[in-house]
Amino acid sequence: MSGYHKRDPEPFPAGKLKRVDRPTTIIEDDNIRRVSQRDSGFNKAARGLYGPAFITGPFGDPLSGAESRMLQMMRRLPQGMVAARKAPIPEDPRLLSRHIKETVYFLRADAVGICKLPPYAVYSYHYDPDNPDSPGFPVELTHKYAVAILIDQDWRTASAFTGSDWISNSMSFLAYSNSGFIAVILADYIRRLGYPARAHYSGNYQVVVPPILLWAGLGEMSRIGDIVVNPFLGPRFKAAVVTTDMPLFPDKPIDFGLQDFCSKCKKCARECPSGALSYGGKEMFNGYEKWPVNVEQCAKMRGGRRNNGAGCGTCIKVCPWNKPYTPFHRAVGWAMRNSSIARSIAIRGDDLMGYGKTDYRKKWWFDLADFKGDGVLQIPDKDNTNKSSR
Amino acid sequence: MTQEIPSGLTGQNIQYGPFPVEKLKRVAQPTTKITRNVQQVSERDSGFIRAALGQFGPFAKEELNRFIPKEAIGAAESFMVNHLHAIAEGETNSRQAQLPDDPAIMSRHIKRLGYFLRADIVGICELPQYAVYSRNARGKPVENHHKYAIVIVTDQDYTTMHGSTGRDWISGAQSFRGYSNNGFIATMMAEYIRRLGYPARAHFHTSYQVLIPPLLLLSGIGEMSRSGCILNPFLGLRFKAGAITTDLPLLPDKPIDFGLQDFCSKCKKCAQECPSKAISNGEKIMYNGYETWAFDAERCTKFRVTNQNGASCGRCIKVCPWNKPRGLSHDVVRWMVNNTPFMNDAIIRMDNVLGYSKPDLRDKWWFDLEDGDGRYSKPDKDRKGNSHE
Repeated sequence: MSGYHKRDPEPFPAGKLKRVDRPTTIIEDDNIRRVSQRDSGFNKAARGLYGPAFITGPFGDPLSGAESRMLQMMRRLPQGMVAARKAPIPEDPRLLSRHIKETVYFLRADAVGICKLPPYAVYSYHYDPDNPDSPGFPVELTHKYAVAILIDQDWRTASAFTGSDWISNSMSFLAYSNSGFIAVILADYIRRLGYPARAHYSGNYQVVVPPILLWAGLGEMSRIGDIVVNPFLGPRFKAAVVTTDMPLFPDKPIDFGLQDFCSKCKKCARECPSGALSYGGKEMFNGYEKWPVNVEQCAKMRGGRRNNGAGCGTCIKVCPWNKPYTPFHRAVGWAMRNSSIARSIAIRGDDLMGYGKTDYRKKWWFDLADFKGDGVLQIPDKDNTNKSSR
Repeated sequence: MTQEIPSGLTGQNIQYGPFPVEKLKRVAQPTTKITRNVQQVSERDSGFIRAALGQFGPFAKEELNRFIPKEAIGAAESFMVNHLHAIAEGETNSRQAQLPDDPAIMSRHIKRLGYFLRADIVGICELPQYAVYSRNARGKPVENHHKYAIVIVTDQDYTTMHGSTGRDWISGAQSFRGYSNNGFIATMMAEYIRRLGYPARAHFHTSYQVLIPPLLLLSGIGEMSRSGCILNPFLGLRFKAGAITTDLPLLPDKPIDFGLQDFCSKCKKCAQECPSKAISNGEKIMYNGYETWAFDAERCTKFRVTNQNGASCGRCIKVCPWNKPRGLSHDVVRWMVNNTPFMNDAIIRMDNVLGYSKPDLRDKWWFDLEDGDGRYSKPDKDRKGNSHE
């Protein structure tokens, strides 16, 4: 009867991963400039720097449109009043960390990690979508800790889509809206306990998420460029963050062999429809060691108006770490985490077993989009499958 | 051009969600009678609204506004669900999308969508008019003539229930875990259907126009139980449900029979354990045209609202022998209830012997904190005056 009482709160055995003192890719803490949110790929696109062919306003397909309405509603909810007096809870960071993690799992998250908030992970300026030409609002955020909340984008759907068809945006926005939903509730809860807290989620980020994921032990930097890969979800997730001054005990970064894996695999670079990913080695970029990514090509592919899909997550789909959590894949995952030879075999095996291909037997959505922006949902013309974002 | 049918919607007997609801025995009518005499009810007749109107005394009226937010996690969840209220409705696209002209395909699509949006169970039924409230909480007439109801179910978390007495400080937060997630899923699904050009409305805590229990019976989510609530074979009573009503043509599910009527007639654990004595030890009765066990809504509501040693109460959920985690041994027992009902007495006795209704404090992860005058403090242990007297 007592088997599951020795439990970790995690659905995935994050407690068994190898922990290291620093992320497996170099981070020159002192040399990183804080970046302005208006320089992110999508905001550059929104500002017209990547050309005029971008969807502005409602999304083309009905599901991500419905999901973005949820995020639209949540726009006003990232912060609020902090209770005037602290609740009488033990100020034991280890205990509070465990409590916060249990709370986030109770709120149905798929993975949680905690780190100290690095100052360079805070945006210098917050983008003002109503006034795209201004530098935006300066960000003042001095919270000590960050709680990162991960939501899976759904394995079954990921195996059924091509990587860039009509469900791609909906998968992103499912994870954006649900992680944001949890972050808003968690931040509100922490404020009620008398500690400052702010939720950061799609449409409301004041922090750059990838360095937080690295320090919180939720993944390593991957060839996909700006994307952090988790050992159990692969790149198939989106993250929201809660920053707070509640005293917490940070997790440590993880090492599951991804640097070796990504240097050999290159499947994402091979399959990326926009050619945004590199076959080469890592480079230093603003103090981060990472694989280069052509943000403009990636953002154009995802945000551009196409008639064969909405958004793109081909790299998420084809990554060999994008797998379901079944006994077989748990065993392979263990071997990949622990042996370089196993990684080399797994890279071959992934192609041989046909992973990364589209499994149409699982497809459940309809191809529908509002092409003309007049509210009429139409079936895309199959013969006109130009992949580009012109 | 006609819509190509996605291959994932053509197969039969595939498990769509986390629980094998597709394998349950389906029957033409619910296992408890629903006669033609069912009258529409007003939302003002529901327990909590009656408490708000002062019908359960001044203390219940006073406590109603704080019995959830007095605990901080429930407060944060209800803060969110109150915001969801603003997007329960919306404009329907004036042009209908080109969709397959097959309600069976559309039903499977909608279920897949529900599971994609992280529902624990999805069911579909026709919306009977008797399940629509005659008037809402403010006393205004309700008009909803949608043809179908899509029912969304969210688990209230087994591990948490395992660490709880069912009537302590996490009880309200468990309810609102269900309410808030149902609202999250139902609002997005309703908006999606409206974008396809069909009217749809989300029903969840703060925005119900429909009575949920008959929809749970008709859509095959569960059977009527002794507790007066609908019981699901995989979750027991440990769930909350929301709904989307719509005119999108769908194929309804059928009610289920998993042997609960015999089980509840023998097991009286919820009646014995209910701290407010709101649940009956006796036989089923007819109530407003429904065959059900007698249930004292006043006692139940009063206890939940005025519980001074916790936030709300879900003791019946906790002690019900159907409140179990996933696992092979529990699958075996589920099979036995359905196929060897003469074993039910032994199963009920075993449940007591194994001590399932006790809290396992090793699974307790929350703080006992109560908000009074804007600050959270430790509640006094064993405070008096929490009961229905």
